[in-house]
Amino acid sequence: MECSVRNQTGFEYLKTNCSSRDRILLINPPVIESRYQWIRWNQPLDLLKLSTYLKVNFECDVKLYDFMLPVNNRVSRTANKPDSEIIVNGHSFNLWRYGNADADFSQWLDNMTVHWRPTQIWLTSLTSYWWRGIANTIARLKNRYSDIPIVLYGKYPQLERSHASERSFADVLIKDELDLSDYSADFDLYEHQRPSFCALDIRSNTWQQEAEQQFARGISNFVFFNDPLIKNSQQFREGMTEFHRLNLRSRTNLLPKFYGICGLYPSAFTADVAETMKKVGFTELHFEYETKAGELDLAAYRQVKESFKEVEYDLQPDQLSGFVYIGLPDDDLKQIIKHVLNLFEVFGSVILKPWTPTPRSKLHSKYKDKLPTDRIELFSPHLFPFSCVNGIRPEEYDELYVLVAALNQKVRSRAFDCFPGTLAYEMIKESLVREVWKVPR
Amino acid sequence: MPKHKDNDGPISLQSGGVDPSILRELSGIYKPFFQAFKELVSNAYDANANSVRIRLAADYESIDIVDDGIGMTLFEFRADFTRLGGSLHKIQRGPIRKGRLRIGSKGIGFLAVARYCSAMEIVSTTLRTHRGKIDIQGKTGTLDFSRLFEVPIPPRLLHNRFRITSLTVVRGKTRRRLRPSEFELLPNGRVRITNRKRPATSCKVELRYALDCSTLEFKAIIDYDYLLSLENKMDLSQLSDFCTLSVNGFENDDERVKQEYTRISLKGLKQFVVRDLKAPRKPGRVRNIESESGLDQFVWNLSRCIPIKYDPRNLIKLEAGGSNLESPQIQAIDSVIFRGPDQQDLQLLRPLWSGNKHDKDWNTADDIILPIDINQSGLRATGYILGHREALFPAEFRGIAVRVRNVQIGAPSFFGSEQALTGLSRSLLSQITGEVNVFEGLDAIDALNPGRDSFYEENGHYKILRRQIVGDGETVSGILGAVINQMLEKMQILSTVESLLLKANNYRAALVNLSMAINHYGTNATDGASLREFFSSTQRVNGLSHREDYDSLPGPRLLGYRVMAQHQMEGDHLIDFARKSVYLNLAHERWNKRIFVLGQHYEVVAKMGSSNDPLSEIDTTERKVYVNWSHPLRQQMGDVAFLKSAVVWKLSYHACGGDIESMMDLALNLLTFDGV
Repeated sequence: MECSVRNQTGFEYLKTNCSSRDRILLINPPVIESRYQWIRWNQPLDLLKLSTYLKVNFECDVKLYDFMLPVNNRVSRTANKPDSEIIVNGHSFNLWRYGNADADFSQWLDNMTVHWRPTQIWLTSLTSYWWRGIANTIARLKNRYSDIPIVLYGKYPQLERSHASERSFADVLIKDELDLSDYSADFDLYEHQRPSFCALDIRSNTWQQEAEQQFARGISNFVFFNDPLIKNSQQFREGMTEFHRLNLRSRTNLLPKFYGICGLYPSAFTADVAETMKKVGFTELHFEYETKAGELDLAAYRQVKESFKEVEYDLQPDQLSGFVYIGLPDDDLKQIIKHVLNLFEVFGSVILKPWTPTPRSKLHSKYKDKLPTDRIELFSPHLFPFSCVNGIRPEEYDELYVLVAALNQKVRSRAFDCFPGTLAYEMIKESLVREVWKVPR
Repeated sequence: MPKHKDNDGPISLQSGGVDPSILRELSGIYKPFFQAFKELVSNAYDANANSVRIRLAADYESIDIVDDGIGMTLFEFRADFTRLGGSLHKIQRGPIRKGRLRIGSKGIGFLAVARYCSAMEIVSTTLRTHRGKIDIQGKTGTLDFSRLFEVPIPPRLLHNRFRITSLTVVRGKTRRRLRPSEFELLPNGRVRITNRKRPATSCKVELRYALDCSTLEFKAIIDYDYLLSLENKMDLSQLSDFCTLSVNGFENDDERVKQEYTRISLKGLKQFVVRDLKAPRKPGRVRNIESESGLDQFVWNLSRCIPIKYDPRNLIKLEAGGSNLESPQIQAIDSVIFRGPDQQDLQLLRPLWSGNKHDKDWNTADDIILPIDINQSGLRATGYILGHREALFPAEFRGIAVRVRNVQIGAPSFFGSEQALTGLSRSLLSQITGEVNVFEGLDAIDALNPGRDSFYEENGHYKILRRQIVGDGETVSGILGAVINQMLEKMQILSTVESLLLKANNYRAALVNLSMAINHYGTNATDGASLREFFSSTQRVNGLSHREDYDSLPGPRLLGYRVMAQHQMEGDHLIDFARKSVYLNLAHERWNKRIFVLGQHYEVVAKMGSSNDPLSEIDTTERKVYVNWSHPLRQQMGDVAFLKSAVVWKLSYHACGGDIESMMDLALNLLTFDGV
């Protein structure tokens, strides 16, 4: 089934295959998953930057179809029935398809092809285990355009080259990541519906100018996808101060807002950093899980709390939280619950972050024999691929979610999308609202 | 003769001896209110007005109409306006100025609004000079002629305006015209004959005069309440006064000098009129005029039936009406402005259907438009009939309007042809609009009923018009019949092509679904191996491939239309109704017969196999999938289900190497695959 798929580096391919005559269609494909968290924050930053690169260096004509563009801050399930079912350790998970329907995509292609037929199509994906949405989309495209090369870019071909070569149906796999950090995201690609936020790359030397540009277009929410976000505290503060000097607040009624949703480690957080973040307008901070010898690094978390106090940085529980990773090979439920309660003490709000190993990483290699190699969809953290190693059943993780959701419900005005609708969740929520622990006098 | 008074105050006129019950009957001809009010605009048109301003009072109690037409002398008012049949003699004078043919003819216009208000006030002035004749009987030394005018003019107003053009003494058969030196005009409205031979007692004096009206303005008030209540009075001859009249003179520096105008005010609008005008718009989505507010309805209906201009932006004017609607023979008042309570001035333009509101991209290309051009036995008319692809809104546009002298006669209709039509043809009437402008004929007294809202059906011209438009048999023929036939034909071809495209879409969707199902299961780690193995193996076929290909495209003709296959064209298909051709864009995705299967493209070929031939065959060497399109199962299953079943069962059979259970599982998975 493997059919002359080309493996090339990104720049090598672009250099030999792109010219000003090219019409390039970029696609952010749909996602097939058991749960789709952080639905607000999916943005195909790599494609948006690639578009700028193609326009600047080759004068290509570029269009984008984003299956996952949130509408009213939501990405909905495509249908009210599951796409498929998957069994993990005897536990059945429904896989749902998220994003625009294929019928809408076909309609869009029908309308577009009349005047604009692509000469190349590029797809990307945030993770390798979302390959099914990519393969389905490529198969659909191959049914329509048998003569147009389809290029696959992103984590999937980088991390799972062999799988992608066999199952993705792409003609070209880009095996590396293009360093386009100094190219701004091309938001002009969103012709009719502008996204509500702009993803930035902290590594870029020009992210401040890019944020300024997008702010001028009416986009005032910014997020960094970098991990870690603060590699060098001094550098981070200088970058933020440079942005602050632009004084965007004085230009419109809008306030620029930053959301720290990933890569924020407590040990890198100091009072100086807190002050800088407060100054530039970070309105949500979610701290990564940091442990020392299996225990929560409480010193680091305390330092975070002290820093907030020191600079009088008041964030509400729904704006501030700590992640607790679950799904690791050495997970211990008691330990997790302890860490959850500890973090509640610190932040008042906790988010469980299911974890999955990066293919070819140390941990991945260590347990390689126990992990499925040809079913990479099972690497989704929501399916708890290490449950076979740590002995914790998926339903026990579910109960953990319910517990955290219930705790969050008490203190947060808007909870994350945990398990609404389940009986346990509803019962606990109701009990908390009624404060049933209070003994009537 | 009117009663005269010596002072300048108003005096009363008589109704001319017509039985009041007849007045009452005639006043009921014009309904509803806008039909009656349009008569006042028609009067302005007849008076050569360029501009008309209509204003409804804030309290809805009165409405004014002011025009810049030629105005009236008080003598004309007396003779033409208030007398039944008064305008009859005008017809004989032919066209009035500007080439306009006169609208009014029956001489009952002043009664039009009688039922809708308590009184009508008319103020008018003109630049014309009135010329008249007065006969004076008896002994005549000094003659007091001012008392003998048909209308009351205070003697003081005659000064410098009244001039004797001739004075003739008639005695028996002898007539002698006096020289200017033989008589003298006195300032008190008298004339003194100064020659020595005074006329004998029994002689008659004929006085011809000219009265300069350019500095006179009259004001008349017709009391409709009084007039229409006469029916109940016992002694009609004593109670016949209904109109008071007064005359004013201008000084030379008055701004009204050298102006001509007529201002008519309807005072005391009846409660039912006020209620109708104040009616609010119906709640919810509104498509028809009858659901609009009372005021909007009045304005729209009035705009439709008065002689005003079209909206110049109207597409239909350009494409459908063309020169018919722009004919110089169609005269119109340049500007009619309406102002309602709390409203800005609104320039009235004649509404013409120009696409339904929701259909912003409407143009006439998709519609059927046939011209009307009649020139027969003194009837000359042009226009068009338009058949749209869906029901017309507002519904008030449905039907064919007939306009005589640019005034719509009644509501648009289908000349009674509704009765002759049934089923679909009849329902198509809701999609038809049209207009006929009559330039000659159909304006005779025996053609139009007094209220000008319908024709007398026995009229010869009307018969010609009806025959030309709807025919005269039991079925509808004529131009309307032709439009209906073309609409039916168009609907049939549209529906056939739509069904053809839908079928192709479904066929293509089934192919893509089949491809997606194979790709989905073929890439599964566990159960995809058999499929992958099958498509990697060498499978040759020798049965169906030799059969004749089934051509899924329609034949060279479709309902009489030529079918033309194109590979490069704008859009996915085009129906050229004029050339009776259907163009299909075969480059469109729906005609694509190739599917993508696990990394390879296969062509799906429908074959004309026999019932003994297999349902399908898959040739992995040639990369072709043959489907037995003539198989009897296809008739029972339908195209899409048959296509999928035929391929899936064959594929499952081969892929599972004869393992029935695996084959069933795979086939059912593939058949029930539902890509979103």
